[in-house]
Amino acid sequence: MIGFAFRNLASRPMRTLLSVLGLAVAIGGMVGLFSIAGGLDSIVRRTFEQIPGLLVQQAGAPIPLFSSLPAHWADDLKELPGVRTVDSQAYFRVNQLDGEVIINPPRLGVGIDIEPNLRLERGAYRENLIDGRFLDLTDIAKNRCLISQEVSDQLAKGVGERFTLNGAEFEIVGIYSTGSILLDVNILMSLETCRAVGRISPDTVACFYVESNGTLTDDELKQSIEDVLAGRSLSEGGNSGGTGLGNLYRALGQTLSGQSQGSEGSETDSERSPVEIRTADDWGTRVREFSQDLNLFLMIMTAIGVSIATLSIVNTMMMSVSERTTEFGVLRANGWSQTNIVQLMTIESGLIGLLGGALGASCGWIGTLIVNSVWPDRLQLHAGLGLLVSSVVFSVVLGLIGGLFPAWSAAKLSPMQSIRRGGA
Amino acid sequence: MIAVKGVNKSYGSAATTVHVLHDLELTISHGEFAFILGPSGSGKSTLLYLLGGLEQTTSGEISIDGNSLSELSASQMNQLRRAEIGFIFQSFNLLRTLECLDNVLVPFLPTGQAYKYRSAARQLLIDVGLGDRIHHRPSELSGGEQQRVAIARALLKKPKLILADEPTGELDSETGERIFSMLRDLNQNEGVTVVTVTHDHRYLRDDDRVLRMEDGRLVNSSD
Repeated sequence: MIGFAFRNLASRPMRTLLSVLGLAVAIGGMVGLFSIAGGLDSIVRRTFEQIPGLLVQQAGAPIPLFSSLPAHWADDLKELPGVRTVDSQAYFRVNQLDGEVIINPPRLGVGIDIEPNLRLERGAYRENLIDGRFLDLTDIAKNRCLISQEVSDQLAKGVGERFTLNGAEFEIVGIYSTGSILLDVNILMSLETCRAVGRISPDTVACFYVESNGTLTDDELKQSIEDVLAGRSLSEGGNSGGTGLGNLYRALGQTLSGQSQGSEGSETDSERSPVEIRTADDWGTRVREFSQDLNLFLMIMTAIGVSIATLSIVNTMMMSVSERTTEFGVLRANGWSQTNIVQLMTIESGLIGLLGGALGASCGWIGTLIVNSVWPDRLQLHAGLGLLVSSVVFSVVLGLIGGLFPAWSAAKLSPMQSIRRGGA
Repeated sequence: MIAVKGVNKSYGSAATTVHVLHDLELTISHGEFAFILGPSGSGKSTLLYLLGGLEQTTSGEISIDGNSLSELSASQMNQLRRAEIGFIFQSFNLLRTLECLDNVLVPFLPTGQAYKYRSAARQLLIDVGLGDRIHHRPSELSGGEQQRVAIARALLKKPKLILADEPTGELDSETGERIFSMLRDLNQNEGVTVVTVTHDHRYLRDDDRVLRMEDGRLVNSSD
């Protein structure tokens, strides 16, 4: 019966093609849209696989760029059991590179505490060095930096060459490539250099990257850090709490995460933690939550296209039913049951779904490859096998659903009505 | 034997009811070659379709070999049409997307048993003179050839009863003669009961059973 159904579709090639194309566009769009969420998930997974440690940053700050903490807290963290090393980090936004204004994609100056950083067991930048060398102790307070392949391409400069960063001249000592657009925006330098160029107080850092020695779980270490910093004031060591923009982002972050501010909160100052400690899993969970919201939005967008495509299938099949009324009567006269007629019609609409789904998923997948190759430094779209297969299955289901009503319309006529209506 | 007892058929709602058949009473014995004659609108095709179980009577009863059609379940009725009754229509009604061989196999396509009947279907096409047209589509055949494919389709199931609705209505007289010759061979050699609706009296023979209809009533029946 599948061969019969296929030949019926092939006998009306233009109509079938248009119906398949309508569905392919909807499914291709769906694959494209969901590949954004897939890309986000993939990039987060790829990023946090490379930085398995804990990030301690100011409570409410969405990212370390908007965080400010007293620098001397690093000494307390180093003493905690279970801690291998603590890398103090500072961040500033790069406004100019070689005189060119930088807006998008952003570039961040990242100051690392070189000595403890060299003791990290896992160092994302060090492990992904592709040219030159990593920063060492001779680079402390020097205008030397490590840049990504992406920044190197942007500057058209390599190891040993110089460029200006926010007006200060820097020498490139090494080039890395982590493959993550979240990491490859960073220009690494010593903490001291970062403070000087970014006009950051020597008493503050943006965050601490804490690497465990493996004796405690991440959750235990996280609790230990929270306990030691509980009730501390951010103004210790001259911390002013950051810039006006930083305060705005932190307030926004607190609002979004449901934390209260000021005296309205039920927590006392001695109980409230001034920091947020995020493990790689925490970041993953946050992104997954965002991803779920994004998926909901994408589903609504997809539903519009898919509804139109389904109506197109219903229309195609209804036209087919009205043209083939006599045929159904003849089939019934030859012993075909109503169920057989429904099967034939739904197989035909299911085949439209299969063809449309396969074409749409293929085009969507190829589209993501093209987008990724044309804009390699932007969010990488990811259409995995799961997404592609489920798109095709979804498309077949749509085809079957779209064919049900026309199929029932065809089957419910009595054989004589069908033959006479068709003018036999 | 086919028995028609007090059969009425009407269409439409109470306000606009059209009575097509009125109190029909008749019997057709095994092996008869019967013609239903009458002007357009006299109800002869409706009677034919009722005999084949393609439509339900409004009242009355039709039975084949003692089995009342109204008491058969849907699947029993499908089985009856698939295995025991062969239909031949005026417009041939072949499926245009299927080649001749598959058109002949149509009754068995949904059962998954078409392969069992494939060689028999091929032989039937050879028997009706279409051995060189087995893989042709209906659009590649003449009217007479299409009707012969339809006859082969009706014969594949080795039916007890063939119901033909104006089988020569779209054919020239020579081809019409050939079609009726094939039906008579079936009737005489295989004992198949044939009931034919026609306007054309040229194909009647003296020993044929003739049922004349007017305004939904049987006005004459030659026994």
